[in-house]
Amino acid sequence: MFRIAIKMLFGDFAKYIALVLGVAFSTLLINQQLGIFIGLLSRAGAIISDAPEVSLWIMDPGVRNFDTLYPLPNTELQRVRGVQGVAWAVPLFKSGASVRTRQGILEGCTLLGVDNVSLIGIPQRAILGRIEDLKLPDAVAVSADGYKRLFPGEPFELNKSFEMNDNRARVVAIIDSNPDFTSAILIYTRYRQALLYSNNGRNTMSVVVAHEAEGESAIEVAKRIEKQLGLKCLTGAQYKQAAVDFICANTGIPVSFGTVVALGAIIGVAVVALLFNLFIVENLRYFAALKALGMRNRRIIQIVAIQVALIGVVGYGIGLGAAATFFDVLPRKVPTFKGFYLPWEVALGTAVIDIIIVSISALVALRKALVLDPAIVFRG
Amino acid sequence: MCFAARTYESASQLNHQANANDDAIAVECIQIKKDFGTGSIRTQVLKGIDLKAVSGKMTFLVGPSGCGKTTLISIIGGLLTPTAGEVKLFGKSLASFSKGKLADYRSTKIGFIFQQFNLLPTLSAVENAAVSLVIQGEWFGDAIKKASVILETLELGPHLYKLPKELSGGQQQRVAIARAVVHSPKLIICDEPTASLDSTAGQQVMTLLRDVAVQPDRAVLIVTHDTRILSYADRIVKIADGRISPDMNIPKE
Repeated sequence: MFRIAIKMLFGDFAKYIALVLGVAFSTLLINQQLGIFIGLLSRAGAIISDAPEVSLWIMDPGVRNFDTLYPLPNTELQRVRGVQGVAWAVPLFKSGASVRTRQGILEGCTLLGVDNVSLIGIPQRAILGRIEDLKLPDAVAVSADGYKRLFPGEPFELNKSFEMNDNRARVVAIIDSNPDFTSAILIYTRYRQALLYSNNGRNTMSVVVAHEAEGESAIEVAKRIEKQLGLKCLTGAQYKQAAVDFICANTGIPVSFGTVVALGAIIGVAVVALLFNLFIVENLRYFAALKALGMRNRRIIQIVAIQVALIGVVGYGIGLGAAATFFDVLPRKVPTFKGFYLPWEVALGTAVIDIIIVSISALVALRKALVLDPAIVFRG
Repeated sequence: MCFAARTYESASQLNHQANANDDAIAVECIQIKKDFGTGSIRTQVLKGIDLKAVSGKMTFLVGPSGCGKTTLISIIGGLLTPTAGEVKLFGKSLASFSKGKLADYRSTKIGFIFQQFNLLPTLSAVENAAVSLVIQGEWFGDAIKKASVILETLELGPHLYKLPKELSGGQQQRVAIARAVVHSPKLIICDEPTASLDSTAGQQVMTLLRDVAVQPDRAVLIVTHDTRILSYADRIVKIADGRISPDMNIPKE
């Protein structure tokens, strides 16, 4: 039965290829769009993820996401340190800044000023140079993709310099950091140095980053900080989730990506159902002959199931392969694509969508074969 | 033709034989009526057919277009349900079978040969011939072996793995014959087996059909318009206006 099903399907090779490509196209579109969507959402919490040693993020009560921080008075740092259960707390500065290189390239960047002594908040992944060298005068660390944008076509090299707010900055480390939501160049420096590079007002501290003492719960300490200081305090996981929620609630991104994913599924159903229906209609005469020869409807169902399963598996494989290639190659070739990936949950979800696509197609087409009157074989 | 010198029994002799020995009766139609359509467009195609066909013989059903020949063999083959009357195959009433059981009965007891061959275009000759066994659930490899033997008998040895489109009309019909006999059915129903063939190919197909299909325990029912092949019949039943007419004489070749 398997051979009959396969040979019937392969008999019209052009239609088989079109069916497979229909499923593959849907799979590619859904995987690619969902992968990019999830990549974008995860970028919202990239800077938080890059500081795994921080468990508590303390900020102004009005802050909703990491990209819109309201500065805190420097006195808040001492108040946080005074809360029971806080092991340590250091300041973190975040601001936008303009960078100009000697070649005249002007770029916007996200400037992160970390504690002068501990340097907490910098991802510990130096591609070139040493993070400890940030303690040197005018020292900055630059994200790898940022370096490529500031010095296009040039190899990674230390001691390159550029200008920020009329102050010289010298590259002492190139960092493998996750791009943030806006794909801005990330520049890390010491807290005091960061103040020089930016034009902020009286209050300079963006957030206080802290860690709970041993034996304390981060969530409990966060609650305690909020209660005692009237500030907002989130754990790393809560902060990342808040950033994702902010994007989902305040941008059209989920609706936009959701629409494309839905269209991918609808087009998949439409193309595959139409072509498969045509394939079955063209073979009705032979299904009638098989029924006349004594084939039961359950065998017809088996044949059609084998055919759609093969279409689904091959189409899914091609589509998933194309999507995986996309996420493997593009982030390596295009710096702004860094951090995008294909989560296995998306691949699994697409498999479920593909099963629905081919099942609907099979059900639409199968009906004709099942209600077929085998006596038509005698009607010429 | 190898049947030129055959001695033909008369239709009355055959009916007498059938009546004398009920075990030999393969097909028994009792007052079969069949209507198509409803209301003012209702048409009665069969108006009370009584027919017996015995095993070991080729029974031809002839008659003008629209007289109900194809409707009758569709009912005998279990593909259509009569409006009234009863069909018994080897003593069993088809009305007693469920739809699924009837399909199983067709797959084991009946072989079909169609005017348009109805070979699956993407299967080779031997795979097409094996289809009847595969439908019964036989393993594909075994089915192919059995089908190959039949096709060799039908002089299609060199064409086992050719697709239907690579075969002539006569060769395709021989593949269809192989498909009809490979599972050793007790009844073979043929609908205009030579209508799509030229005279030579038609004679060749009928010779092979008689050689391969006719067995002492198997009945062969053939619907035909082709007067060139009537000499192959053991009995010729004429249908006119939905009723059985007196049997025709068998022409001698």
